Amino acid sequence: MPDAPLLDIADLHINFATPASPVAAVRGLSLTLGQERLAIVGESGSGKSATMRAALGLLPATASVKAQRLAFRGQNLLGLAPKRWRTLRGRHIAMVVQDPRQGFTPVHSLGAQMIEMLVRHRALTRRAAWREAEAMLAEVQIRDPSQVLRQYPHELSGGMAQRAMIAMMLAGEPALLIADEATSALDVVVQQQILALIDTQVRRRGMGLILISHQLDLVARFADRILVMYAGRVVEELRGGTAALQPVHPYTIGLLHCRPTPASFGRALPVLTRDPAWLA
Amino acid sequence: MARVTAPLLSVQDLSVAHGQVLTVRGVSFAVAAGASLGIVGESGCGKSTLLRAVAGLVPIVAGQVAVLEQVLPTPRQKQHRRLLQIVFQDSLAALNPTLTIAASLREPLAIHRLGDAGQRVARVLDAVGLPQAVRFRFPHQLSGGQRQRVCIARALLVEPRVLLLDEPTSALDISVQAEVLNLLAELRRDLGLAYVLVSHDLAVVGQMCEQLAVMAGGTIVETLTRTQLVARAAHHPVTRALLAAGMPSGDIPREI
Amino acid sequence: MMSMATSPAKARLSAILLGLRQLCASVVGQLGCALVGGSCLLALLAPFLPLADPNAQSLTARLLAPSVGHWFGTDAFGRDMLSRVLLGLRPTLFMALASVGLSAPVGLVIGATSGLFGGTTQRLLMGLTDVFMAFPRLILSLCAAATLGAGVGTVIFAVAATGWPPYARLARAEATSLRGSEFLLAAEGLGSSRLGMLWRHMLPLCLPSAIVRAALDAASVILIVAGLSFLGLGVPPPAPELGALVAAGRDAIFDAWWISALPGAAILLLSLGFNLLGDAMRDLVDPRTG
Repeated sequence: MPDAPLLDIADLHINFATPASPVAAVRGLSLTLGQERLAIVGESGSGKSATMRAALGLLPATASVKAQRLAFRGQNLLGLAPKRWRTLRGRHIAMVVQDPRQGFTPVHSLGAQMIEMLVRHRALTRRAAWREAEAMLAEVQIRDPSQVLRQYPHELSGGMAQRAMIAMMLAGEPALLIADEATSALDVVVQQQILALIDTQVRRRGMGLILISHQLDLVARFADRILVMYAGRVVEELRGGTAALQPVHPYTIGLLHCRPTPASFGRALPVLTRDPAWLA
Repeated sequence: MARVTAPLLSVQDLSVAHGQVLTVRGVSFAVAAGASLGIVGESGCGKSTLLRAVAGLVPIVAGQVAVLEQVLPTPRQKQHRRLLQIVFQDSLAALNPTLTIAASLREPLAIHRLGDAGQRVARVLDAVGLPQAVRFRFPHQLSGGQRQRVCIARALLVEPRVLLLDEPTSALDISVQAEVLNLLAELRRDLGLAYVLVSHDLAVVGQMCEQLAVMAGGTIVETLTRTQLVARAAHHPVTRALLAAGMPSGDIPREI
Repeated sequence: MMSMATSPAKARLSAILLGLRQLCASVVGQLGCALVGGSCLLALLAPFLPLADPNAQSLTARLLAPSVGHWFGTDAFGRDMLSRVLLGLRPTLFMALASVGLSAPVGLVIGATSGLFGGTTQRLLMGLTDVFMAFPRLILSLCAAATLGAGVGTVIFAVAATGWPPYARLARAEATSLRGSEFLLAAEGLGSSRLGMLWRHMLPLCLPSAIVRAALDAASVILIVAGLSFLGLGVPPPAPELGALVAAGRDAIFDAWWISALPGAAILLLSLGFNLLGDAMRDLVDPRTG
């Protein structure tokens, strides 16, 4: 369906079974994503990662997912068969995670893994695949692609590995990219570079993007819309971009206030006091 | 002539090698009691290695570390360990997962034969703002912020003069980070500790430290005071890059 | 979420209870617990149960098939097989558990130490392990019996002396991979000596795998111990022992199958029980399935 939104979620509930009583990770979340850049911001336990994993079918068996609607481009994702999930993942929806090196096998060089993927999925010859791999790495601004291809995943720096993972994920020309804390393990300079890279690629390819992070000010300028999650619900929606954020919900305000800034240097930082009313 | 107080911690010409390559080259700095020095840099600049070398966990090839003008030998003896303590970034990895919090906290007391274990543990838990019930839990049952407080408590039990903090809040949520940073500031004031805080986040370093040293390629390339940081009066390109990324101009104003 | 403990005793108890509950969650675990637990209980209580005298011979009641009067029949001397089998459990279990109880801790300590210390210590200790691993169990046991004389002590010594190397290898592998852990670095930072790290951290961490190994090991040790007794190296007659009972029934096996078969079945069930228990415990301890 050409006009269906990329991702359409209505009233999503996710519960995890535990030895004690079940834990409600997501309590009634709704969102619609078009061909835009959406940021989902929340602290640990807010349910942001669980939501995305539901959209990718990556939740463990102990999780129960209920929703009025959970669809990708009009295709219903609820109760999807594993085989269908495999076609969807990587090819149509791609995800980049915090530690990219987990996505690579440690015993093969980066080049070997990329070539294997290209040969299998795009039926290229090995020589053509090598050239393609070099081009992919050059596109993510890796300066010496042939050298990097010969290295093993553990030899790559965090930023380099993340670039390579992004290149791999985009190779399948997906319609939607989900970046789940993709920059949390990187230092500030590299964080900005990686987010800018993702931004350029997404714009160039006309893809949808979901940025998941716990750092509101970091992702705000790379998103068109920002959803703030707290305890399994969306508590606020903000407009992204370089303009100043204007939150109204006390949680978002509190979150912004407790960052260290020159105004707070040397003094006690304001602390977020959680109001039980926010859980309602 | 005004008499300069001797620094609590003094590091001179410290060098650390990884195989044939020097990962830390001739680093020198000094921190007075109650003062705090921040060390910032991009990943791979050697700041964590430097901190671990000062803590005596990584062998030194040149230079020395002195606390209260007493040079600490390599390898460190048990009594020297009481002078400086290190707090790591990943609190989950820094605690033995099969030990209860009480057992983890009793370890330093047992090592240094400090008596009154029950009382000391109770007091230090109060000092870091944790409930006594935390003693009988396991690390994975605590939140990230609680675990980091446990690691800080464990470091405080040997009554150190210097705390070395290796990205202590990088793995924490922003709201939890604020609480832990406030706790660390309070402890520094109350106990007269000297801090060396390593971070890649300029805002955290500016919050906690009056002086900063910027590292690149294993050496200190620039030192700034907090005032200079706020005024963005930096010269070295690495410092400028960190400023641009970590403290963007046009700060997001808050709604009052 | 584990219920929050409020005292050290409660924390330990809740951990044990949770472990037991998970152990009995599968059929394998239930069966293993039942077999091992049941056997141990029977072995402990056997002297106090209302059984016939295991040594009372009766020429009239020789070679009787299992019946209401004698549930397991009688042997060539008219002795009641049920009481002989139940009492025969005791030395078998005792020898097996004692051997494992000696070899497991020794192997664990040697392995954990060499893994933690590395270098020369590791080379020395692992060399020692390799030497002991080269000894074939049966041959050593026969030599031991020839030198020290047959008996329970000889069997335990022989089996334990040849049984510890696998524990050492396992513990060393685990200790080597744990050596780089940050909490060990933190312990070093606190001023812990390496011996302190071994005692406080390494040994407790390598213990669960050693326990699982011990349960599985017990399964084969039961067979070895019974086998040695079968050869006459264990408890001297007329005291009953499962392996010796099987040996005693050899000549009459085609006519009076129960004299060998029933003790044999007991050995089988005992070994099977430890196998199942060990399997269930391994599923508990394995981080991938646990």
